[in-house]
Amino acid sequence: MSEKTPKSDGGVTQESIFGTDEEAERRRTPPAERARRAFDFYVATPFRVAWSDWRTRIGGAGVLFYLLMGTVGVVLVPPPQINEGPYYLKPFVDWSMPLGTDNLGQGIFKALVHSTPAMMKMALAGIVFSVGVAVLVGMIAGYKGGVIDTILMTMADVFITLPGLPLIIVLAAIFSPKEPFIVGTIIAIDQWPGLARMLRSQVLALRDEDFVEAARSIGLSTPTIVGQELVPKVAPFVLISAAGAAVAVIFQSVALYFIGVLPFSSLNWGVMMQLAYRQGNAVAAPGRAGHWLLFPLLAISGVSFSLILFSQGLDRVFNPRLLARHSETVPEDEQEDAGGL
Amino acid sequence: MNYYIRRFAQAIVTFVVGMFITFALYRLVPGGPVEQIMQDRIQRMQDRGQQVDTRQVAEMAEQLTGINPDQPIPISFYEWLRDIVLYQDFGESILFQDPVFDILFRAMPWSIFLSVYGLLLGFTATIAVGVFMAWHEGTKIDSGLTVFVLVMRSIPYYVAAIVMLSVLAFQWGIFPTGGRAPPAAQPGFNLEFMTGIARHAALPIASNFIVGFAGGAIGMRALSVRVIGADYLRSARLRGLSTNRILSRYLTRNSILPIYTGFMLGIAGMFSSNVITEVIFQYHGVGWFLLEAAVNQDYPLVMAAFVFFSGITVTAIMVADFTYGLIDPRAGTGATRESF
Amino acid sequence: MAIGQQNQTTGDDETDDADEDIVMEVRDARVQFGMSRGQAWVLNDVDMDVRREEILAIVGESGSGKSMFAAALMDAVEDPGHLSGDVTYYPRETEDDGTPSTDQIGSYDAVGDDSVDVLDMSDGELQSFRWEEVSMVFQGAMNSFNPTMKIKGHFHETIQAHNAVLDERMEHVRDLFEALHLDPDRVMNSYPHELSGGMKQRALIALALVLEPEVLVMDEPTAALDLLMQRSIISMLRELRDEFELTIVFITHDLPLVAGLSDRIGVLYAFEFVEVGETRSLLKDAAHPYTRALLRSVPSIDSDIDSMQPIEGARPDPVNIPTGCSFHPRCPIADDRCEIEDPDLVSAGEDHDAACFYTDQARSELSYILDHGSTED
Repeated sequence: MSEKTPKSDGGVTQESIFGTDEEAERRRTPPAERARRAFDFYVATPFRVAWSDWRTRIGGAGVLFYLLMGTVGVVLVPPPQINEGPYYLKPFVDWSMPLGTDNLGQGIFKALVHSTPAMMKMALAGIVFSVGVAVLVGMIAGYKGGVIDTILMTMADVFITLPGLPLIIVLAAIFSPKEPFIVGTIIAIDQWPGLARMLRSQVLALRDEDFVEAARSIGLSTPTIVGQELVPKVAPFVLISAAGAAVAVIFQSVALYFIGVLPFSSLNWGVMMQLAYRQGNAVAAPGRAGHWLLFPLLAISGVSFSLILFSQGLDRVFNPRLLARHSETVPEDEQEDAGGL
Repeated sequence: MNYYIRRFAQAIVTFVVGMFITFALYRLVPGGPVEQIMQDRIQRMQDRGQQVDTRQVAEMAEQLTGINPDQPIPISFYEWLRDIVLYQDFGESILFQDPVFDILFRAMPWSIFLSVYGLLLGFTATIAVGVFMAWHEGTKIDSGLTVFVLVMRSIPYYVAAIVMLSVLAFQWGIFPTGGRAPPAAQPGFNLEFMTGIARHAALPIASNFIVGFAGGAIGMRALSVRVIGADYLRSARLRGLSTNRILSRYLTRNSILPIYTGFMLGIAGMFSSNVITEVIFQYHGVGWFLLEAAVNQDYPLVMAAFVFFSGITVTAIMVADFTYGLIDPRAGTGATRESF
Repeated sequence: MAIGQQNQTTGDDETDDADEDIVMEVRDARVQFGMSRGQAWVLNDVDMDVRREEILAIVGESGSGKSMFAAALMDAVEDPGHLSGDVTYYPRETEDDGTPSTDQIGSYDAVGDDSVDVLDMSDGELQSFRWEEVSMVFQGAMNSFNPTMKIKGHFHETIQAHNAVLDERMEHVRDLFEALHLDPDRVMNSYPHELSGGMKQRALIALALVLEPEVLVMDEPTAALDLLMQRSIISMLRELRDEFELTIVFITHDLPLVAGLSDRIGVLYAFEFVEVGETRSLLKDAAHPYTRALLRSVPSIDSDIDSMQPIEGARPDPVNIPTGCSFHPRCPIADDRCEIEDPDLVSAGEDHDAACFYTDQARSELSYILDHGSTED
């Protein structure tokens, strides 16, 4: 079958895998073709599925916009400079300063753009740390079980018990971190236990499923099984959690900068808000400096809206129960946990 | 019964371990509390041109923080804990120069007031809106509300708080701009004081409401959709039960089950985010004191506030586990159940 | 089959005997679903008379439309399914002077009507009609109780929803429980998960009978139970019917199970009845090739393994029902005529109809061995 249809589409590929001896199939297939299929299976297909939902489309476009702003934007837009315009210039008046200026005459639009990389770094650090720890802990606990499971889950319990924001405030006060990567990591410190627990129960559920048992019985090693069977199953889940972690890090970091717990050396949206609040008195007298506060607020709400929309869409697209509900023949199956808070 | 004792012991252990981690972290950082206070004082003395006696300053710092730098951390942790448990002695605040216990004890009711109200309103709305969306699944009402809920979730609660403060308090003067109660009013059960409290709390509670409401409705909707598909709901409809009964006793009751523990964890989250809310509204609750203490290196106050927040979290989770059996008759002793 | 083909209109008259006391009459009942692949017919212009106080078994494999038939009897087809046709209910005759019957239990009032169009009822009427006149025991009884409510609560709320007298009804429930061999106090105060499958099933039957309906529709009521429990429930049903003057419509995929229970059997295939007849006659001398194949696929102690054969081929797709006789792709004696023309139900004996052109041929060519036990009461 594979010789006849080397450029088969996803469906036929799957059929041929199930229809013939997988190993033989693998030997006959050139590496490039294998890579193409892997790409199709793991990347292209989920992407196509994801794109079919309006939430993922709009959310994805939003996320992309912010990513471009943080990468290409900083090259195109010159950094803000003191006295490049009048103080407290209103927005939409002078189009060289589209969003107005702050108390030092710096363009707010430029400041917004040049704040993005710091936000991205924090979010990225948060994602890497929380998802990394969660995946590691959750997978190992679920797969190994026994004493290791107990120890790891007790650890997660302790961390869940630590009150999130107060802990971060204390840590921020202790370490006074300036580097965005460290800030992101500290803020994400309470993000991993929930995800780790969820992953663990996913792994536990999968571990007992027939196909994993079958994979083990034909002698596939644990990492192979994890890689081939478990990862694709939990990947969407991790992706959704990553988006959630990014939102949480952005929310909390801005809050902490705004209330002045975190020291700052570079611009970011929270810092802008804090300056607008403290130096521009923007909350009490928004007439003069309101726009200085407003645009960072909008930037944060925009990025979190994009991320939340994106992950909601993903959730809908990858949720097997929802898929079943919307397909024609599959009866509603009962496995699935709460749709997440 | 055995389960309850075990669960309680587990809660105590997690609590103590959590406290120990924070305690140790605080101590181990280069330039811990003692060092920081010393530097602060030396700086001040030098500014005033005074002679600096390092040893004397060190002694003073040790006394202020109640820390003996030569003592191993586990022992000082033990002593710190012992003083708290036996004598409710959290030390004295460096910043406010009052016993920490008194400060926090007075601040506590205010924080609980804000959090509990925000929580009750937020969760009620979450459940109601989620069930409502599920009941109208696939209609325009459903998609409209979904967008609304997503937007609500995307706007950080403190953003809403800032906007409300700026517009409703500063611009329109409908609400006070900060504080817990009108300064002129006589504390007690008089009208002026009570309405004053309500008006001061309105905006912080509204901001906490947003925290409680947040994204929960979407998850609640998913759970309700699932219950709507259940056999017992169809059977209930055919038996001629009223829509009200089906909504309350069948749909809501059963959709809450999986989300219940989440709500309890939400209590902890609510108290956490209340810190920011209190700071924004200058509302002198535990959160506000925590922040002041953290920024000013008031180490005893920070640790005590931290005990408060950890205590709330541990208790909330434990209560969730204990009470789950009451709301879900199937949940035996909960020994095998996932608690999170 | 082509849409709108009036395939069974001629069959009606033959089954309608004047002296039959009919409690429910179904005519041209059709259930359609809109699917992305096209319109699906899951019940296809079906006719059936349910006689008062009989036990009628509806037999068919899964996906033959039997649950839809059950739902149609109380106009309970779920969206997006759409039910059309006629379902008529004939209440028990009142006193000859037309005074209201004294045994009215709930809020449903059928006085003065000798026939009621079920599909024409208002929502309110339908709400009372269900459970007071026609009630139902669902497929998947295990999940038919609210998991967070005691069994007692289910009875109370049902009685209250129909404005019936609580004490009187609960007295009736005690009788029902006794007939079903359930301990009222223990079961009433239990949560659903604390009961065994068999107990739940029996409690559910009691719940269906709490308002003394005329007709009890049971959709695969024993599917999830073990064999012993199945048998014991079957025997209780007979007693219930006699004691409470019930009409029972028993939907199942298990032909031998109902052999000893039912008075009549209707065999559904591809969303229409292919054979309807008195139980003994239908089992002993099945006229439709599908029924005969069904009987041959049944395992029995007497028959050796060679004589037991599964039915070849796949069950039909609701979107794409074969033209002509819907069974022809799987039928061993089908010919060209069967591919084009759809057979109507025609008489194949006394109180016995089959929708096949070649009933004689089927009877002579397709053999099956009947388990001796299955036709004994």
